[in-house]
Amino acid sequence: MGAMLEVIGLKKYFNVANGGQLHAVDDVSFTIEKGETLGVVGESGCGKSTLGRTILRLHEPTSGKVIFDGMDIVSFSKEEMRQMRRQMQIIFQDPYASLNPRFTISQIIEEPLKLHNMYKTAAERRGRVEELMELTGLSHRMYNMYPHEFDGGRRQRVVIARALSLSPKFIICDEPVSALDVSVQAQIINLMMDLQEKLGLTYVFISHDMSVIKHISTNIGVMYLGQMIEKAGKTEIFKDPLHPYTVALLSAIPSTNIREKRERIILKGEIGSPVNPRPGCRFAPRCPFATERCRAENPVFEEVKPGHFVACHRTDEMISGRLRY
Amino acid sequence: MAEQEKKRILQVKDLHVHYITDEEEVFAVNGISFDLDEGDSIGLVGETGAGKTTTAMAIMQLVPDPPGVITGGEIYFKGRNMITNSNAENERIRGNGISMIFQDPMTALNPTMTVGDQLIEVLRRHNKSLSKAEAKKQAVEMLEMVGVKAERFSDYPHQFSGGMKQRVVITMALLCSPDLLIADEPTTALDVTIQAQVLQIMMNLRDKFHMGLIMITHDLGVVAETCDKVAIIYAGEVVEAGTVAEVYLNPRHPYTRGLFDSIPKLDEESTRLIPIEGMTPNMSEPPTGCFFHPRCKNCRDKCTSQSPEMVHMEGGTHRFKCFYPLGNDQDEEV
Repeated sequence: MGAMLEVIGLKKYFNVANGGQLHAVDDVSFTIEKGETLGVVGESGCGKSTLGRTILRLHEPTSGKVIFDGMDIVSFSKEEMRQMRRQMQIIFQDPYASLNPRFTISQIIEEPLKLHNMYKTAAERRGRVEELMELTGLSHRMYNMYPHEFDGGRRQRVVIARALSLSPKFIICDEPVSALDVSVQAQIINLMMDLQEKLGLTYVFISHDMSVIKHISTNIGVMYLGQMIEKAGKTEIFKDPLHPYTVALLSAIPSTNIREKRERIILKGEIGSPVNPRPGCRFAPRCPFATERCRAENPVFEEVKPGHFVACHRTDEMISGRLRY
Repeated sequence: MAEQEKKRILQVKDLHVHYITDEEEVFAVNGISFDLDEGDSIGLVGETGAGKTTTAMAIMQLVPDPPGVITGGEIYFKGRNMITNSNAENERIRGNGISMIFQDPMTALNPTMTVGDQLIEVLRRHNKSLSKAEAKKQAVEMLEMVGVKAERFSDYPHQFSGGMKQRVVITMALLCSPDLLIADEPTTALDVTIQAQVLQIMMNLRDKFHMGLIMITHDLGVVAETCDKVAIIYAGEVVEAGTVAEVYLNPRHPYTRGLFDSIPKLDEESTRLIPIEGMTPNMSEPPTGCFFHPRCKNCRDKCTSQSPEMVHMEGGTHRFKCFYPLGNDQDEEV
């Protein structure tokens, strides 16, 4: 298949008041193969949304490389980037905020086609809009309706149709189902998975909901305070999580399975601040296994088993089973 | 404590709430009934607009009027009917008897006052003879119980993280040791590891003070973790209820089954999700017959015209509102 996207040492720092720097994305590296879904999970403020936006250069990276289909897009000019965005799209959480209320559904879906001069005639554009509506399960009679006439699920279908209009290869999905009720959420998840198969799309799927992430992803990356601290295939990460934070995160998910009550790990303390972070592992203040070294030295994100990456000083002991909550 | 010694603290009987404006009448709550004993917890589960929060507001007698009107039913809190009580009496019950916490902790916190001053104010309002020093001592003790350090007493709400703010709100709700705590999506805005911390605190406090707890949520997992009983709410009706075990192990109503099928499971290999087709009805024009029939895969003629009665299973508390419940192999009408 080959790599769709390679992110190397990506950093995005924001200046904040009093001369501080907020390390929203701090030295993140990973590769996504074509046709795969990388689920990115983490708590609010961990930098997962900033990561998504920085990959698309909606935020300019502080440093690092983003190699899309073999090209380092960080070095691209504005115009080159504009052309490149045909192939890279993003879908946001709130379908209420991302649709212009004064446009009809068809105008919304058509807009990118106009901006990129994709078709010569209005009739051709109309054909494409109708095709996209059918693809995303929007019935033809909705063509001239307005966003306020739609519920959240249908609006998210419109957002998806618009994102697909330029036939992208790669879509960043930033919490696309988090604002939806569960019954509607399932419809949208199924649609996104069908579209991926049909159109050969590659997704980065950002969510705080582990069960949704597990359902849709090929690989899962776990973020904590701006850093990716673990990444592995989804079965692997659920079966054999190696970072103490991942272990706690997985155990904390409320389960509907009342036959098997799992042991919960309740972490102590709060998530630290990403402003001028101290050296050492970001998770150390909440980690029951933290040593002096963890508090002094930032662990390297490295491959410890084929396809399984972890940033932790005590991974060897975790693998051998000597560390247990 | 033996079963028969538990005191019933809340009875909601056939509650109806409508929102009436010049343009329309919205049938928000349509005959909801449930009971709660001291020390027990019940989860009210449903999607946006199902009537969960309206039910809670009706219990508190805080439904905004207009447009909200309680058009029928009874609500007994410790034997007294909240609907016919005087305003003064309900005022006393709110805070001393029943407390409520919301999804957004800032709805309950004053951004211009330190957390400590807000707690002291609540304590002294409910007990006028309490000295400031004594109130501070009690407030600090409560904060420490929920894991907020005493040194944060003089901080303002914006200096707290979301999880810590929710702990402060829980403290505030529990200051006057209510008999009933209504928690409306208390952890929805929180992350899972923080959610686990906050839920554990709530459970510990419920057990310690022997409170009744109503947990309003859309998350079936949170209910499984925290509640003994559950009521599944759809279009302002309880469509299925019982103990968590009864409902989770043997869901009978197609809507309940649909909710379980819609959520991705963590401990099963992914299969395709089975969504509930369509969307929740506009309750200014409720469907005829069973409110769920337009979305129901088992819908038959009768369902489109007649509203099913609640069917009570023998030997338990399990009940559901459906003519053709699931798991009924004979495929016969109930």
